[in-house]
Amino acid sequence: MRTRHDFFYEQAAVLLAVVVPLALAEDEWWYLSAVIASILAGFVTRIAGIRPLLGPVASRIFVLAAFVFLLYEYISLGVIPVIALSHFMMLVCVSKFLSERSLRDDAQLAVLSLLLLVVAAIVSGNVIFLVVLLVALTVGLAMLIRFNLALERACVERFNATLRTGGSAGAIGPERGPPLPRAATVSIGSFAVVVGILVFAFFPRVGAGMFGRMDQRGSGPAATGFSNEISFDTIGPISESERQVMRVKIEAPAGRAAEGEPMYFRGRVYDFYAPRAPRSWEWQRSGPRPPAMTFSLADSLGRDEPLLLLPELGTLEDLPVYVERYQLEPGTMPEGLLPSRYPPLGLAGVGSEEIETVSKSLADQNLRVLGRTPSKLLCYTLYTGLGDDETVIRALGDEREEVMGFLWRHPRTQPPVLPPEAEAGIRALIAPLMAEAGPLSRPENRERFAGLVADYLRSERFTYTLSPPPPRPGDEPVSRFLLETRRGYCQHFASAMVVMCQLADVPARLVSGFRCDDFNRMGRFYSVRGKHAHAWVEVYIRGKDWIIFDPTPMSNQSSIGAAGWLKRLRSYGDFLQFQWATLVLTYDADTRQELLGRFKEWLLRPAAKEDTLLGQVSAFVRELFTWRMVMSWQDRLLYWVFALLIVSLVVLIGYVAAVLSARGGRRAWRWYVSRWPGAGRTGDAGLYDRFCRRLADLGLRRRPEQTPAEFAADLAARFPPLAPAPGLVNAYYEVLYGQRSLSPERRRSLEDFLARLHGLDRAALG
Amino acid sequence: MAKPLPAFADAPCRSSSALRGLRITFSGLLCLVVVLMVGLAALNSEANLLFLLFGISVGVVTAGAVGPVFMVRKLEIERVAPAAVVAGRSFSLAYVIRTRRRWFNSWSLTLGEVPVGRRTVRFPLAFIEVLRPGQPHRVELSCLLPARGRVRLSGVRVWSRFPLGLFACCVDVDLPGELIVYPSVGRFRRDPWRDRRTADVPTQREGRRQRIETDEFYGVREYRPGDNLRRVHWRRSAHAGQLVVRESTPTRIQQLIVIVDPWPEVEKPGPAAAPPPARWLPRIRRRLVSFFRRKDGSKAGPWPAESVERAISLAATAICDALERGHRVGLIARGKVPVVIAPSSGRPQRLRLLHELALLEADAGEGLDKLVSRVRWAGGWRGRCLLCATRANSTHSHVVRFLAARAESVTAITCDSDVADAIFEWSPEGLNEAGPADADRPATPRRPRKSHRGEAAARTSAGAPAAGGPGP
Repeated sequence: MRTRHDFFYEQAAVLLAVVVPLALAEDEWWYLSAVIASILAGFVTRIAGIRPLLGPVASRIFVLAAFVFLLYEYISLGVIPVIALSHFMMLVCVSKFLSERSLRDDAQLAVLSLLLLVVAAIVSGNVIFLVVLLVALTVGLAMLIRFNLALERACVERFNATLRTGGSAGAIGPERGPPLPRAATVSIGSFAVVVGILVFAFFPRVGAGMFGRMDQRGSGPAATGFSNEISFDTIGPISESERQVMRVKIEAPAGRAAEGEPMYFRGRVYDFYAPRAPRSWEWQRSGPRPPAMTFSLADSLGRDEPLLLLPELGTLEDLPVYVERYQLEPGTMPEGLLPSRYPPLGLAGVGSEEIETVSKSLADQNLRVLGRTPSKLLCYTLYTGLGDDETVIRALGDEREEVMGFLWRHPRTQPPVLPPEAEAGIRALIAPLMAEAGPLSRPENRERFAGLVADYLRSERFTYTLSPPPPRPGDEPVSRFLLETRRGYCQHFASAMVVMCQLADVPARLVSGFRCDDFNRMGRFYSVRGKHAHAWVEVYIRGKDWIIFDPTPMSNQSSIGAAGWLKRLRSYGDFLQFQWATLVLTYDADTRQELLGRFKEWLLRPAAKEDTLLGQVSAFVRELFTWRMVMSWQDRLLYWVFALLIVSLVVLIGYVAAVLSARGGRRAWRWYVSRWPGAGRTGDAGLYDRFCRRLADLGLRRRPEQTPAEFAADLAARFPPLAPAPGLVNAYYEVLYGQRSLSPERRRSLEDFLARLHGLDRAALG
Repeated sequence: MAKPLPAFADAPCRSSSALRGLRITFSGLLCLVVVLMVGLAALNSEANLLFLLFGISVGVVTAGAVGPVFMVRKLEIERVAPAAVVAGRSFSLAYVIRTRRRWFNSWSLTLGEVPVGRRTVRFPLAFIEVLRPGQPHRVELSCLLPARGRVRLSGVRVWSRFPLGLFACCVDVDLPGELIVYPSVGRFRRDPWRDRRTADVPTQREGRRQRIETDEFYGVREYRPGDNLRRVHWRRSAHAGQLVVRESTPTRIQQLIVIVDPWPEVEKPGPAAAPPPARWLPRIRRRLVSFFRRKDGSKAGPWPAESVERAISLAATAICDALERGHRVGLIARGKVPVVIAPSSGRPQRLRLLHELALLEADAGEGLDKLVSRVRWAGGWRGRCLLCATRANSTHSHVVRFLAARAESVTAITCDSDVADAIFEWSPEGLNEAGPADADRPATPRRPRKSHRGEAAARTSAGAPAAGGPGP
């Protein structure tokens, strides 16, 4: 039947669209392959007209196996429940495609597609989800509408069959599927999109999860539930932190400044940036770690005096220090690390009893917590020799250089642990370079020495390769690279340069990060990808601060690969993804406020000089018709669209108000009429109503058992001024029951009687 | 997978306003729960994609609530129903529906009669996929009403669950009317008046009985099983593509008085025949059984409803058959309102007699013998008399004796007897012209259970004086 085929195609399209972002987010492509294979198998069975591949029993066994797999994933593999559930639903969909035979299967597929859509919204952060929404709102919506029509038809047919009428209803005719209500689909889809955008834009954000507000505060808005692909608000501090020794090195294209453009981290690149996975050059050491200075904090608890982390300083009072107070909430603290500015000199007032000792790494100057990460609020005061605050730097003056020199002399007391023969070999390598550079006590010679080392490593003696010889157990990798293999990649070159500089008493450090030169001109941002991962060296030169040296031979080559239409296509994709991430994924209350502010500013441009609302409106209207301002045709078109929208809204509100008022008025009128019988009547019959109202004012009311004629006769007998009352009632009877109209003379006489009655009071009646 | 009918389909409540008739379906309730959960998840995780999905879902649900209200508004419905139908035979009930809107279609409309009270009569539903503006849509339903009587129609209920079945909107359109359901009309296996030798209905005065001559051409009609093949009009049959037989009318116009007593009086047994006093347990059991039988409506009083209907149907069949043959037919029926209709012929007489039989109600007060004795025909009792009763009793004996003295012949039949089965066939096949309404799909009414038939036959053969036997 045609309808069933239509359902099949539409469901296949919707399910494929939903499964793709799930597979992309999880990197589990075999589920997608299974779904595609089942769809193809179902299609072939339909085309060939053979029975489904899975019978009812086999289908149930399949679903049971999928459920067992769900438990296995959740219990044994520790897969997140939502993900495991989505795997289960995908396998059930596979079963349905292999055994689909009734409308019930179609309904189950539709429900599963809807639930998978929810999971995709949770997991995915890719722009493909936009495509999924488009498919769901077009093909999916049409399928649901058509499906509901088929269900209604089946429902009526089944009901009629139970009546044993011997035939179905006349309208339920051929086995042809219901027509596709395109207009209805488009209308509903458009309406849903508008409502969705409004809810998305204006739904209140509380800044943290509703249920996890207490323990998740300060963690920042999540772009998506599980994907930490991007979070711009944390990139800046990390990339600028000296503590991390991780950076993104932007190499701007020619003619463009590298400052000020946003960076966009793609894929799993950001994972390397996560604070829980710090990189420093010490990882390269396969030998014993350099000793760390460990301090017990038990004595510092409750004391204001700082614990001196560098005993050689003597006392902090002799040094210009910068004091910072940190307050870390649980969950925000990097694992094992205490955030601090560089270099840390003293520590005091650690407010958490869970920290007993802290150590300072002599390699990267990081403060580390020994033991587990505190789970409570942690407060401490840090004394640093340098701060980023310009006032502090200015206050330090010349002594800043001294402090820095002292600090970098200090690691020399703990030189890199190298095998003696390796250290001797490296010293032999750097000896001619030191001689060529001159005395290293002078900053310019140090810079020259670093340059010579970088040139030496970039020379033809060394070969850049992504597949260096594998390390041998027990060998020190840097000395092996320098003295034996001379083949490696960026981290080998950078580590070798750091070791060579430090053996020559030149402060140097390894920087891991990304060397980014992929600038998207359309969106004006830098794309940072996994292939941009790089390592380089920073050397401290007195008077010039840290200077970047890149000893890797291939570093001056651009990472941008293909050119032409492929590059342009990729650029469009990056732009779409960037806009999706910027406008949708990271949309929050601040963004909304900013957008509203920009919209208000744009809207009130013609009325910038007006203070009152009326003046602003009149200025806006004048601008619409007089074109006083100079603006583009797009702006002017948008002004008109906005004005027409406002007018439509006002008309709509007015219409609704008018309809409601009319209904209310009719109800009030009916209530009034019901309260005063005959109050609404006009014409000849209204004379009797007026007569009754006047009598009611005089305190004379007809008893329930009285007819109007009896009432009038009674009145005429009791009150002489009311003698014409029977005549009025007779006229009323003639009008009401005889369908006659009164003659003008008779009506006039009755009007006179009513006028006289209005002039009477109860006393005059007698 | 077919959804059940909405709960309001059988509810007697009425809502003429579309907004008041809006209901949420079970699917809608589930969908609403899912949407709320998505909203809570979005609020909890601050995930923007969930917010987006939640907003779109809210939009879809809102459209699903507005859609049904929009579909059932501004509809005009007209019911085209026959004035009378025959029980057990399908008839056509049509609705003409149009929308007063000028722009938008109405989708997925379901029409049905508004249930009145605890009425057990159910009409089929009509489903209209799309109703375009400016184009009236006529939908015809094949209906079947099982029992005779008067069926009141209060209005038409229209509902829609468009577009997604999450909400349903139902409005009632006032269309008062009524259907008179005539008793089902069967057929005689053979002519009871013509073939005396084979008839199982012996009459009293055989010498007076005259042979019915069929020598005057009346018309043609389609062939019915059991017709004499010699009557087939072959030339007309070849022309029409189906068998057509000639019909003839007797040259001499006969008169038939049909006397119907569906609810005969229950005779109280005499003191000698009184059964011994029952023990307390069987007595309670009997009372309980009689109580529940009355309550479910299947048996009103001591007469099985099916037997009553058979008796009335037998009378209706005899009336239609005699009128078809050109006889003059009169009717005396004992019921809540006694019916006495003078003999006459023609189509108006048939409609009148069937109408009275259709509206015949129980709770008779006056005895049949008194009723018959009070009747004074202008032309006297000449002609044949047919007494149809559920069971025979002594009153019927009196009536038969009374009629035998005045009429040409008297035939008394109890509906469940073998005699009735021998001459009367319940299947009304081929009796298209017997009923007043178009009936193209006949249905076979239920035959009484064997126990009933056996009981009736036993009583008849046990010597009920007039039931199936000759009159005095």
